Amino acid sequence: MEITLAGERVRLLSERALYWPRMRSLIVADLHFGKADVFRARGIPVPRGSTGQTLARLSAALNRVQQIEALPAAQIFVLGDFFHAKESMNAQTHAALHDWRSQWPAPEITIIEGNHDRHAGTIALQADTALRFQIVPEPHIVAPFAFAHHPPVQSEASPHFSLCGHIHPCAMLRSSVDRMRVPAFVFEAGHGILPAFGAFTGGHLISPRPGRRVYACVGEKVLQIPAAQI
Amino acid sequence: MNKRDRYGLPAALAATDHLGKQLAAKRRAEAKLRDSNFDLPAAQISPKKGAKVAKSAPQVLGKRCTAQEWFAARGWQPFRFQTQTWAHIAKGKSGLVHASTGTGKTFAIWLGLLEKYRDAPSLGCKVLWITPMRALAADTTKALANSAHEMGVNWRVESRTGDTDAAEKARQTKALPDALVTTPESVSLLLARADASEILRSVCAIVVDEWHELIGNKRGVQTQLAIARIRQSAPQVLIWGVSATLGNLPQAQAVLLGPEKAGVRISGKEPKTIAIDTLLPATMERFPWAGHIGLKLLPQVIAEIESSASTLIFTNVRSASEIWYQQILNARPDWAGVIAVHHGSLSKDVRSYVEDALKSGALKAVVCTSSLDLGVDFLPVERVLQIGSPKGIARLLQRAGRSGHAPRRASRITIVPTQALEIIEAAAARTAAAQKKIEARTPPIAPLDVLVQHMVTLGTGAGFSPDGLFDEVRTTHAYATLTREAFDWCLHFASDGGAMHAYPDYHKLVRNEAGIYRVENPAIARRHRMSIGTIVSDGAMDVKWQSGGKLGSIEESFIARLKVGDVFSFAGHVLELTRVRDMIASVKKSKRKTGIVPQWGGGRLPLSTELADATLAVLGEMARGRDATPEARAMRPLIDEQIQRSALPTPQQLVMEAIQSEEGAHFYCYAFAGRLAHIGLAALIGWRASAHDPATFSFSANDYGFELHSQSPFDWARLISEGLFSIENLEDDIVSALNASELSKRRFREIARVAGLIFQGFPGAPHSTKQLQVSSALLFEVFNQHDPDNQLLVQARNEALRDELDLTRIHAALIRINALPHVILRPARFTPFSFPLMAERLRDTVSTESLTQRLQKLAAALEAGT
Repeated sequence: MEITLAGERVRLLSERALYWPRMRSLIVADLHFGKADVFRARGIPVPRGSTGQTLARLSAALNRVQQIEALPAAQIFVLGDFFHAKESMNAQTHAALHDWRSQWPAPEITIIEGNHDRHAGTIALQADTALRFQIVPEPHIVAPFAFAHHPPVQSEASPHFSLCGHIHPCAMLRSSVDRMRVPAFVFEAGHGILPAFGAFTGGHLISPRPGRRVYACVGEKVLQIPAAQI
Repeated sequence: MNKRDRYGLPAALAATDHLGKQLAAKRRAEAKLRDSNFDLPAAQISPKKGAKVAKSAPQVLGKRCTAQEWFAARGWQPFRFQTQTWAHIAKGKSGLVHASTGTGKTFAIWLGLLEKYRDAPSLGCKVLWITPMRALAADTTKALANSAHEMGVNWRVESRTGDTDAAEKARQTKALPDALVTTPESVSLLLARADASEILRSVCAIVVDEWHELIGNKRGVQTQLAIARIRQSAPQVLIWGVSATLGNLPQAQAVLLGPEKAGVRISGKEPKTIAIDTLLPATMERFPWAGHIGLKLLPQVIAEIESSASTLIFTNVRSASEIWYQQILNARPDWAGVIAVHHGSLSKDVRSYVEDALKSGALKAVVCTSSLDLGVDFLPVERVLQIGSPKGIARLLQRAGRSGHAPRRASRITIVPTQALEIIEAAAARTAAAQKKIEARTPPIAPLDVLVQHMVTLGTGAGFSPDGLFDEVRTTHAYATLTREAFDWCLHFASDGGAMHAYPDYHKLVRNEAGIYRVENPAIARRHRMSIGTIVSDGAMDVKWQSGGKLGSIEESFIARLKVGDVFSFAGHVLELTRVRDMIASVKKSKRKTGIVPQWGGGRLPLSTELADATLAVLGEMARGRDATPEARAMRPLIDEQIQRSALPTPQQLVMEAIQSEEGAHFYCYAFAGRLAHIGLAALIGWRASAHDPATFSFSANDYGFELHSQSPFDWARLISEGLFSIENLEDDIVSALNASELSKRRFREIARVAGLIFQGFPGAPHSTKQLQVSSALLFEVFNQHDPDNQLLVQARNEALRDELDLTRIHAALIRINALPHVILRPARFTPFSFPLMAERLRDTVSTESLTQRLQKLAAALEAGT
């Protein structure tokens, strides 16, 4: 689905990513790599596998871009919470990241630090020359956008349109006989919030209303949710 | 002088001189008479010469005496079942006492134990008194302490529950009291102590109060495991249960005492007469054929409240209690402050406020749900109303027992029907109650989540050896048939994930050189102790005053649809949403008189088999023209309407209807198997009829039958003759038909919490615990994708089939259907039986499709709408 933000044409991908064709940039938020590792390390048995699933989804998003735009993405921006916590940064997760990087050596990757990253110490990845990740504090300005992890506080007036994560928005799909929760993009005046990209992430239910548009990732599609009838 | 010490006794009791004792005893006796008497029948409370009691009691009570003498001193005669129980306890027997509430079961066991163990030399805890309800612990402790001191037994009697403060717990930890009143969860916490076997060695008796509330659920399993554990340290321990009447008392006894242990079963006093009647509408002509709220009878309900000093109004769901409260208050604004609402989603503070106000007589009426089913003895009222179907006999009798505690007054419950067909249920319930057809409560078999939790609990304490624990848990009813394979799976899941590669770096229980499994990481142990128990909260959003103070909780999806400034009704207030942040909805009072009412998921009980059969029996009588009751006479015009348009379902005849409307083809089948079983039946029949394409139908179900709705008609007679109702491949067909994964996901919430996968956080959680926050739905997906053979998923599926779909009843219903002559009628119009189902479909259906199909349909609906 294509929409216009701050005068820029962008594409919402059902892989829970946003693509900005003019800058050939893929934007994702809240990957939470190694989250299940944190659970296991703290004595809660959650099976491994979600890190691989998240990386596969990232590959799928890059393939989708290539297919739609006939040009590969040159840049990836991660809007924070790349790692979940300290215990996420273990040998298995690093190995998986290196494997993935060797398959996708081309795009430049910039990680905007999120709250989880500060606790996890994601900044240490900067030293890993094989990964070539650039790690920056929020906000990271690429006009007209400001890439951030936390949504702006309402009183903040900014000349930039903020793209952020942190909230993990979800929408409720409803028909007369059924309902289901799915990840969603949320756009309001001055900022937009991306769905959580990681495979092992929960969500926070957000409903559309005047001044707030909600786009849900429904299977292979992205669809706008009409304002709820109460 | 009203100051009381920590035992809940008058402070003056501490006086050591003789005069002091006399005074204290007198004061106690007076206080006792002033208080509503705990668990005593009317006959015992009011002896022939009432005045004599007050004079004679203080002179004897407080000195060493027997149970007989204690009764005599009060001028009471013990009932036969009480003396029987004392005799059995004296002989060292275990057993189960069952009787209706308010007949003195507590004294039957407690006084017997006091007699037997008053001179037991051991220090430490002698009696563990387990009660299912925290709120009851304080009252029970007081009653036990009073009678002990009056018999001259100088025991410390204290309670220890989740409400006990830390200082008190620390003091108890140094030396447990002689008798400890506690909950299943707090007993497990004792087991999680390193010195558990030493401190529990002295226990002479374990009493489980209100066992009927525990036997059918995982708390009961937790109790069974705790008893098995305590038996290891105290092999001679007596086990006594107290239960209301159940349909499976021998089983209830066997489950409590363990399969190997023989014991006695003692029938208490016969229940007092219980009157069951119906608030009949003045005229049936305008009375609705469908609906769940029943406000049509509001004026009559108000008149009933008006004419009684205190009334409890039971509703079946939380939203109905909010609606009724609001409507009563709108009709009678002068009752503001003297009526209240009480249900499980309200905060503990709000609920205890209402309970206390009811106890002190400050409230005229409380609209409530099953949240007030328990604790029958401490909240007697004058009048009890039941809005809508009572769903089961046991529940109805228990609710009725809330009234009539005054001497010579019968218990009475009045059913307020919400739709026409419900009127018949009161007549049916009356017959079933008279014939003592009470529902059974089936104990769970081998729930692995509880076992996993138990292993970690023991590992948090002194640890265990697998062989010993396997033998130990096999002595319980729940795990009597547990295989070593299943046990070992739990052990791996609770320790290191086993040989599977799915759980790297995971260590919870760690095996030492001696082969003992323990939790070595103190942080894991601390988190586990915070999580012990099997009660699962809603996982909903907290509702708080913006000025502070929690009101309760509401489903997140309801709040998400509101915006700041929207008005809704909750906790008896009309509230305006002011802010939503961090899973907290802040509210303030609204000036408006009404607001939308939240719906809470789940919790709708099906009509019990006993009540469904009794209802069919009443219909059978009416088919023969016998209208023996006021309800039957009121129902006559409607029943004639049904007979004239179609036919009446009876025990002898299965009625089905095929109706053509503008909407398409409707098929109805009245199997009388309860709503849950009908959901499963509808899905099964739809799936079989449409050659495995469930999406052909939409369907709905209620307690009497189900509807299948399709665009084009089906040849039902032919399908039935070809085996539509066959019991072959039943389970597989249902799983295919219903896409059981949605139901499993729902069950997985409780399982994940019990098995320790979901950590709900410490009170005032520090930031680090937020990193362990996860929803059960997400975990369910992760396990399905990355460890699909996980036994907890299997458990979720089995629990879904048994509890969400009532597979046993589906099976029984199919057998009955196949044995009965059936008719398929083609009424021209909707009938009294079909209309409620037609109306129900518009608000409540269950999806039968796969995830992909559902997503496609939802997307299509969305695209069509925009």
